[in-house]
Amino acid sequence: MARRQLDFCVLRRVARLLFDGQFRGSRAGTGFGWALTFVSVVVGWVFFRAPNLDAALTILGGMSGRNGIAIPAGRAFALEPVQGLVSALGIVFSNESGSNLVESCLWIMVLLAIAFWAPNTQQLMRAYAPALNIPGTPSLELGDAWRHALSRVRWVASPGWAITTGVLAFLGTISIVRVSEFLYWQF
Amino acid sequence: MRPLCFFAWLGGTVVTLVCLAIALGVAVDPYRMYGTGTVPGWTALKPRIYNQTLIAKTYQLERIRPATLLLGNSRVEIGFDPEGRAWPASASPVFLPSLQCCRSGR
Repeated sequence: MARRQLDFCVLRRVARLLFDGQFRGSRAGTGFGWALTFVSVVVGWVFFRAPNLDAALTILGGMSGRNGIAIPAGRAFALEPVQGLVSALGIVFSNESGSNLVESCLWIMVLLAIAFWAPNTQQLMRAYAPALNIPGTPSLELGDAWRHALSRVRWVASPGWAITTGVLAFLGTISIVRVSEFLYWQF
Repeated sequence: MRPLCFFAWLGGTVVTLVCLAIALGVAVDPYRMYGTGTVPGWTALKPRIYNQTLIAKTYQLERIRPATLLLGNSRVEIGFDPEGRAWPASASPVFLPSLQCCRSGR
């Protein structure tokens, strides 16, 4: 964990050296920072889960499209309007489940939205000093009205939050039989 | 809001959801554990049972407590009808834990 934090500190330093703060605070700078952080974390996870370096590099090669792109044959109809582009990119069709692909994409969209825009636990609990020297409302700096609205979501002792917590406790308990390996088990 | 009141709402939510989940499980009876009647178009098909045939067979054996057990390969599955009228009363209930799990008759 500490090693990964160190890696990201190095990454931040390199970016600062390269751009010398010229994009600091701009929309492009923020977007680039988000993208760089996100890709770094996703690449880092591969090394966390892979049994060895060779396996990690093979997975990263697949993720980057080095082995080509395959789409379930059942979804081929969706790409008919862009048949020329499909051929040009060398996309092939495989006999895998199309519904699995759609389900995975929907999950990714929903979870990305939560990861990017939903307030984190520190923000939710900020009225109760969840950490030392926590900034007041950090996401307010981001600007947009809807993000401003999201950043105002905070935990209070109310029936709504009690029901929400109860629903999450219930869903967590009934999902307990689904095995999900702890990400850091190798360390 | 007082802490006790908050926990009452939270506990009430959890208990309500647990009761609903139990009621749904019994009503749908996905593994034929409870012998709840089926509703055509709603609970007649139980596809999950084919992934958990060992569990489904065990629970059905416990619930039905058959007097006759039909064991064998696909010939037994196709050749014997546990719901057939030819079975004498002394041999009922008849249970056939087939490959596709399961049929029974009284």
